[in-house]
Amino acid sequence: MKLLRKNIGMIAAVMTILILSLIAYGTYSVSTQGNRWFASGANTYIRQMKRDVIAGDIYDRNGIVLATTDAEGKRIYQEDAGARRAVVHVIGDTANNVGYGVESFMSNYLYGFSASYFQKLAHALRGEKMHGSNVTLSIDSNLSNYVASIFPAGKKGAVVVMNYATGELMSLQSFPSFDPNNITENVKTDPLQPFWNNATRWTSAPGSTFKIITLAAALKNIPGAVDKSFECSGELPVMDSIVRDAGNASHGRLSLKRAFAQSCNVTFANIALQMGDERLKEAARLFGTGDYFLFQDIVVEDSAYPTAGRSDKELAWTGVGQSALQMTPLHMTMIAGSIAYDGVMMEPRILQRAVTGNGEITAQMTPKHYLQPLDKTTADLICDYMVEAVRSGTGSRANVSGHRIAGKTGTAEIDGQEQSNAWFVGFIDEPQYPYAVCVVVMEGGGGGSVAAPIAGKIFSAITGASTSK
Amino acid sequence: MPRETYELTAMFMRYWFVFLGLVITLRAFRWLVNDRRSYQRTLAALPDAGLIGEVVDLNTGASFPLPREGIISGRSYADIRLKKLKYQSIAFQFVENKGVRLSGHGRNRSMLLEGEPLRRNQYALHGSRFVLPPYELRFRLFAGLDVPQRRPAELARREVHAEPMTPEEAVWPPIDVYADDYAYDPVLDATWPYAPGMDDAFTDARNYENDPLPEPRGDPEIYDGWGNTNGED
Amino acid sequence: MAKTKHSPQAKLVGTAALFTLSGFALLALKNLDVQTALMALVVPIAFIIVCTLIPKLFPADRLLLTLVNFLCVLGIMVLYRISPEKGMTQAVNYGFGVIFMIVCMLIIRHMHRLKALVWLAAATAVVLMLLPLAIGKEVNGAQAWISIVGVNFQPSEIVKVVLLIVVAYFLSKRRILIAISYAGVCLALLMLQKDLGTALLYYAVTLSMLFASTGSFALLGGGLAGGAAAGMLGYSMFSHVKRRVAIWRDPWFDYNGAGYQVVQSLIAIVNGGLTGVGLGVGNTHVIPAHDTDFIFSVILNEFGAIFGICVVFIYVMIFLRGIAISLRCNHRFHALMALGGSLFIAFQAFVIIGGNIKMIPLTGVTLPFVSYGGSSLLSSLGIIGILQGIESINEDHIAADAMMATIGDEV
Repeated sequence: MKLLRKNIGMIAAVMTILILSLIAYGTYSVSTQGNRWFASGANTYIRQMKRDVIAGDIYDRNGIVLATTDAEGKRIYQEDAGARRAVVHVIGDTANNVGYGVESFMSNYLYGFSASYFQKLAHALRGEKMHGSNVTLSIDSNLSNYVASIFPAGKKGAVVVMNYATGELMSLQSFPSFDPNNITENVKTDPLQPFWNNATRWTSAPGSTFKIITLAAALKNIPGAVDKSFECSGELPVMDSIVRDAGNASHGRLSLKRAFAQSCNVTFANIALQMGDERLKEAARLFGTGDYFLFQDIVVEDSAYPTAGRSDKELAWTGVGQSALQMTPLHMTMIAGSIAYDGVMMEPRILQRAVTGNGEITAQMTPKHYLQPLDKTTADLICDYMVEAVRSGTGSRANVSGHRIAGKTGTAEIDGQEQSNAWFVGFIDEPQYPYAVCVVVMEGGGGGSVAAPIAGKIFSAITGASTSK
Repeated sequence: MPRETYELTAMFMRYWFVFLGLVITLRAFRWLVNDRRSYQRTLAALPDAGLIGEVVDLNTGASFPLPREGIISGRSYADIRLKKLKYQSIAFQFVENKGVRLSGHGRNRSMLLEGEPLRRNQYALHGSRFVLPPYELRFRLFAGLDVPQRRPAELARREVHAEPMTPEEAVWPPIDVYADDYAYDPVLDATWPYAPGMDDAFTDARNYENDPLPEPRGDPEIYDGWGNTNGED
Repeated sequence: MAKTKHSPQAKLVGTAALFTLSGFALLALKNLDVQTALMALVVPIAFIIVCTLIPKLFPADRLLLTLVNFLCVLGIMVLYRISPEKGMTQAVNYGFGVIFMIVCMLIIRHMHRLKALVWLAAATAVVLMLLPLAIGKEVNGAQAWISIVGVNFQPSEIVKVVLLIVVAYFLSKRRILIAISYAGVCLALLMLQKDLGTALLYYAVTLSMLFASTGSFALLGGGLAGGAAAGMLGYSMFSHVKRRVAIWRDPWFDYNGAGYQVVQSLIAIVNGGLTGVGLGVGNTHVIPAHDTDFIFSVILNEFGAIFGICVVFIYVMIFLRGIAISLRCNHRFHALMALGGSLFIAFQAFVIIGGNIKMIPLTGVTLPFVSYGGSSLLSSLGIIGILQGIESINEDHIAADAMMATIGDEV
């Protein structure tokens, strides 16, 4: 009996722990993902609640009204069609065509679910409909307008502008865009998919912009890489393919800094081969590749480092940002921001504050650390290299005179596409303008020739028109 | 009732339900804990709860409390732990009206119950001697347990030709101080702390009339107290 | 135990009755009909009667009785809110369940006279399990139900009780092989019925009883490995198992089709928040099977997460009480039966609540005591009856021990 009792005790302990783990899992699961489930289109309960509440207003950081509800309960956006198109992917629309826009993702605030019971009771007793909280975003509507105006028409792509010190998103745009007041059949069936938010939900190989990560890996794993010099003969045969430089350039002998600034594929392919797949993958992981992104304000597709069919050829191409890498423009912006901010990656935020009808603040943004992929010295070093890339390298068309601009271009060749995707990630390395930018033009051509100038104009707009902060 | 009014009432009541739910859970939990404590106190007041007697190691005099069911072996989880037993383990189980059933010995012929190798599912009684090399054990069962008042076979055989015993002596057999291995056993024959007045209860003729001895069962090996076997004359 | 006005039982029963009364009263405000108002009076009174009367007639474990009845009554209330007809049916089933519980209690109490019946019961159980395959109808991919005089009846639930008794009996006699083979036969029949959730339950409980009885970790490891292997085999053989695992990993992929059930369950839980949306306010009909498998989601939706956690704690307390009963036993047979019974309840609750919150893939078991379903309620209450019977035997033993300790005292 003693044996039996001992075993019963053990079984009982295991079973109790199992059942209690239900509570732990439930709490964890709901607290991290609860808002997403709540805001998804499948939630029919929201429709029920929406009948009784007037949705709150949405403001941009400068107080411009992005969305409001009129007397009949209809949702009204900005007057100017261009302005509406510029922010539609952030705000979403009432029909939930854009997944997880602010209208649905923050319906918790906009429809006053978090309001206390007594407020609801008071409103009911007064016989009036309750008004949800008003939400102020970190988005800058004027900047978004400007960006929309300089992006090449007819092309797919994305632009992200982020404050790398706080994580606030100044602009989050996807092209082509659409007018939420005028959703026609053409819009719904457009093969360019205007509803899809390319900035947060589209992943692809980022081209040479990935060399930032390769460089970080090299600095960590190859001792003395800073002082090494590399030989570039214009082509590097790896297994059955040849790694070539853009425009078949042959750089000869270069330092690491110059190789980065000139975006030398041969050098970086060599570096990748020298380090090996595991180390490069680890470096990417430190930057957040492979993480399950559970940001508070925004839903972002996960980035992925390729794991299938790893051969030397694949490794070489991964080192220069091709092969099966999957990165979103927003993630690349975060990476650039971490280089700028002494190696600290901040979490992207959209909500600045939510204020109820009575003026009390129910939510206030506080900047949140997300990761720290590098230490300050390495980050400063890479920052230097990126400044060089803009000053004398492939990113020269992003330069703004009188300011210290850093960046990296990328030209991603995609199977099945005639033209490559043009990428540019960069930032202003000055404390009073802590902004990072990522510009992607799909089928746009070369990163330095197509994406960099757009970024340059954005930088001028930010530093020139300093009233739009 | 209009929908909105009902919704407001229901939304108010939910706090009440949550409060009651918490009260219910907390009260149940406290009851659970208190009940367990009072049970443990009851057990502490009954040192023999669940036990039916003792097993005594005749060589060392150590006694082990005997639960209703369990295992005798050398493992740490055994109910009666005999350290020198390496591979043997005997399962015992108390069966009402029959005694302590011993099982699990297989074909092992070195284990003896009352001098004979263990048969399948044999029953040990109060006073039975059990040899489990290298141990010699004796079973002592509590008074009041529902076991037939039979005497161990060893004793019975020796006394086949002795004087017939009175009913009183049948319960408390006479001690023959000159029998070889039947010396006064300080362990077995000590006064029982559990039944101080037992002698009186059974040897008092008055009580005996009201409480007759139970009928002997017809077991060929057992000598019944009246000098007969199988209850025949 | 002193039955003063402030005894622990009186307090608990009083609070639970108050809960039921207020719940039904609120529903009466919603429905505005006489039936609900009647229920508001009848159900709490019935609850009080069951909780106070049964311990007077038989020596029963009051705490266990109260908690279990509270869950049953909670189930009646929630089902009544979902649909009055289901609530009434459940109430009727509850009545039968209480009777069955008392019957099981009595059977166990007088078990020593009925040991020969064990073989008969075993055979009957096997026959009962074969019936659905012969004359049953297919529901939700499983062929586990039969229809007797218009009443839907799931034999595997009744067999649960019989399996418990039979396996415990043979294990206590240390005839392990017979116990394993009987359990194996039942499992095989369950797999044929494609009722995989119940099969998992049976397997886990039998394995635990086996481990408790023999104490050999080798057997436990082998059993777990065998179970895992069977799981993989089931995964590759049955397509609906594959679908369920896929839905478990990402239900949002097909949130209007295959994953609809789990998605709506999660949304209902989130809508509930901490205190719930209020009884009668949530839209529960969006979740398929909201009266059987997903009733816990309905509770989380309408009563909130705090209350849901309280319900989970109540299941833990019921389980711990059953284990305490098992530890107090003096006979292996009783201890194993009590262990198995408690595990049936606890494991079933774990599996279905886990499925509701997407911690484990969904299986076809129901939440004991609360879910809609006569056979499920009957078998769960039967198991509680067995536990009560064992506890009454324990109390008899303790009373006998107490008496034995005083033999020879001054009269």
